[in-house]
Amino acid sequence: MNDTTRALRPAIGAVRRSFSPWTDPQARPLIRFESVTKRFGEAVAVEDLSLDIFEREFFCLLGPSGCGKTTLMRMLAGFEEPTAGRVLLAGQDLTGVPPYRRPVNMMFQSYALFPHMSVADNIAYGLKQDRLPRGEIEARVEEMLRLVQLEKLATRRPDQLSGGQRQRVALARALAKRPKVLLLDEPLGALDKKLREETQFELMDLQVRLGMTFLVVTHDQEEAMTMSDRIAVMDHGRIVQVATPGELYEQPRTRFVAEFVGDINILEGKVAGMEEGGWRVETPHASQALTVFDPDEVLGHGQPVAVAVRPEKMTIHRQRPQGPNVLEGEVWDIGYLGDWTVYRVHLGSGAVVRVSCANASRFVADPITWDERVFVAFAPDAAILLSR
Amino acid sequence: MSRSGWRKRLARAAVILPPYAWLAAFFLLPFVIVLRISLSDPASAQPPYRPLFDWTGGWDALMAFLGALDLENFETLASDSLYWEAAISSVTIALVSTVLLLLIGYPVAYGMARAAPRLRPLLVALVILPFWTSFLIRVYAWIAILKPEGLLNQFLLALGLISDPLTILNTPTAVYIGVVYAYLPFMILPLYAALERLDWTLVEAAQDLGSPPWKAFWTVTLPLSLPGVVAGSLLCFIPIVGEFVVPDLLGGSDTLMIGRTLWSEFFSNRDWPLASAVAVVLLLIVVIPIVFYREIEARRWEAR
Ligand SMILES: Nc1ncnc2c1ncn2[C@@H]1O[C@H](COP(=O)(O)OP(=O)(O)OP(=O)(O)O)[C@@H](O)[C@H]1O
Ligand SMILES: [Mg+2]
Repeated sequence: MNDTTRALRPAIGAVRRSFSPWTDPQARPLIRFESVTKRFGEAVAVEDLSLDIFEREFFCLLGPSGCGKTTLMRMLAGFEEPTAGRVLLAGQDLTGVPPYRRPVNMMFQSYALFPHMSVADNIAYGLKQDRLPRGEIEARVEEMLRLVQLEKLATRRPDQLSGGQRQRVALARALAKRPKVLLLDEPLGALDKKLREETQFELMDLQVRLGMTFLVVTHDQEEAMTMSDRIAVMDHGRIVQVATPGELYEQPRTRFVAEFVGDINILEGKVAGMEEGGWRVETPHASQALTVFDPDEVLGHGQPVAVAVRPEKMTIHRQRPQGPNVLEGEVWDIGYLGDWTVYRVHLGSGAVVRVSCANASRFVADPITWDERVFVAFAPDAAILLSR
Repeated sequence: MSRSGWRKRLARAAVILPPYAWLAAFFLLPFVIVLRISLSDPASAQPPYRPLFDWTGGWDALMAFLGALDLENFETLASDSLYWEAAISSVTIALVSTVLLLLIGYPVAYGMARAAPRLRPLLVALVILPFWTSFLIRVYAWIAILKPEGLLNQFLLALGLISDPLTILNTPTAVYIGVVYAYLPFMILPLYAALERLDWTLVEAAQDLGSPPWKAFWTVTLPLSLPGVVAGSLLCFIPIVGEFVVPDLLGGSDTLMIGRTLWSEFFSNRDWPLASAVAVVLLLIVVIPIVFYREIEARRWEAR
């Protein structure tokens, strides 16, 4: 990270903390998908999808391969027309507007750099289409090259660049026109982990600095959590949940979201009633009914339900702890990750739960080891009830 | 040198040698023979040129033989405007035909490359299909179509578009029709190969950056298909310059082409040396664009 980004960090923090137009009923969205459906012959790529994205938002589309992320983006860029529904930009219906008239630029999943042009010509391409004066084009190209730190490679051709450099050229080319909305389709797919993390912060910084709206596709949930204001989780052409990273992690609405975002233990059971504000759930995995505080769910007696608990919200003990939710099992596996240790505990019911513990001290006198009998516990408000 | 070293060398020679041997036997040797005849004088004898080389005569005979060779035939070619006109007319016809072929072949190849992938093999097969019939028969068929009482005139008369039959056969128009028809596959296939490999997301990227479709074509599709354009143009231009069958059958007596001149010198006048000189000149005309092309290619590689 360079000095400018470091200097800007507190400012970004302030912007981020106070930014939540989606909670404001008065706010008008910049981008609106209105019950959009896209079919390719028989196959449905996007199904009856509605979504609002606000100005200056850093919005991520997250989902497994083939769930329709690229298709959604291509409909906004103008390469696909929706089979049904419409796409609006700043209140204007985009139906029938060709891609070259949309104030939206896209960074392609494959980068799509022009192989017969130099890096500088690639970046200048969009500016030339706008018929800007030559001096201005040159100045803007220079600025973009500086931004992505490729000044020295301006005359190279794309096939003489590394994957990461190509990705930066593609980004610079899409940014050069200063579009209202920048679409990025897996922008960091080709980068190694370290460069990826650096670039994530650079992208966030750029987005705040240029005041642009970013719509980013990724199937890396960590990347989505790091960068976005909000995330839409997609599955089979539909949006399952739209939420901030925190909400998505702590209050997933469905099992699919819970399992897709982060690690989670799922314990199947049946609702046995309500006691003191907490749901009682009977499950074969524990000798006593579990207690869960989850005010969001309205459930019926006997209804099948899943108790979902993140590994870091469980604790592991040698002696049976006091408290409502205790599972009993045997340590099958221990994964030491440096910052965390992950235990795989095999319960009497046959299920395996993962428990992760922060390694707060460097040495532990008598650590839990393989094949030991242990107790796993979690607080009633650490778990989520999932009925879908 | 070790045994395996020799083996490697031998293996490499075995790979490299055949194409060179082929070129030497079927290109270089015939060319030397033609060149040697073109430097001789005609004679009413068998073979119809002099001097002949006496293998038994030794050094003196060789010197005498070489002394008798001269550039007389080339001087004749240069001084007689008929040959100049034939050469210029051939090159003109070849150039115009190549441009026509490009104008027709490019849209066809483009359409094929953008067709559904499962249709493409069928389209390629359709382009190659005419080769199943003899070239000569196909050119004869054009006579039946183009002659005054032919299919085309009957059709146009029936539609009432014309009142008198058009004279197309035995005019330069007929030559252009025949040449363009005959060479179209040679233009379409290299263009198709170049366009089919093209990454169409590049065109989308151009449009995304503000280019209307025609401009995206001009700035992205066309430059990237240029190798196909050059290959197709060479593949058509070179044989058309020396084309004999089409002008002979469709062009009538007033279409001058160097291939026909060569033929009549050879068979009608039995002037082998002059015919050989025409052949050498034809070869030079054809070599120029190839050298030019190689020069461009070399520069392109250097620029990388
Ligand atoms: N042009 C097309 N013709 C037919 N089917 C298509 C076309 N484009 C996409 N699809 C289908 O639509 C679905 C969604 O594709 P899309 O490319 O949007 O997925 P994605 O979420 O971007 O996946 P990935 O993460 O792998 O890029 C897929 O099942 C795909 O096969
Ligand atoms: Mg995709």
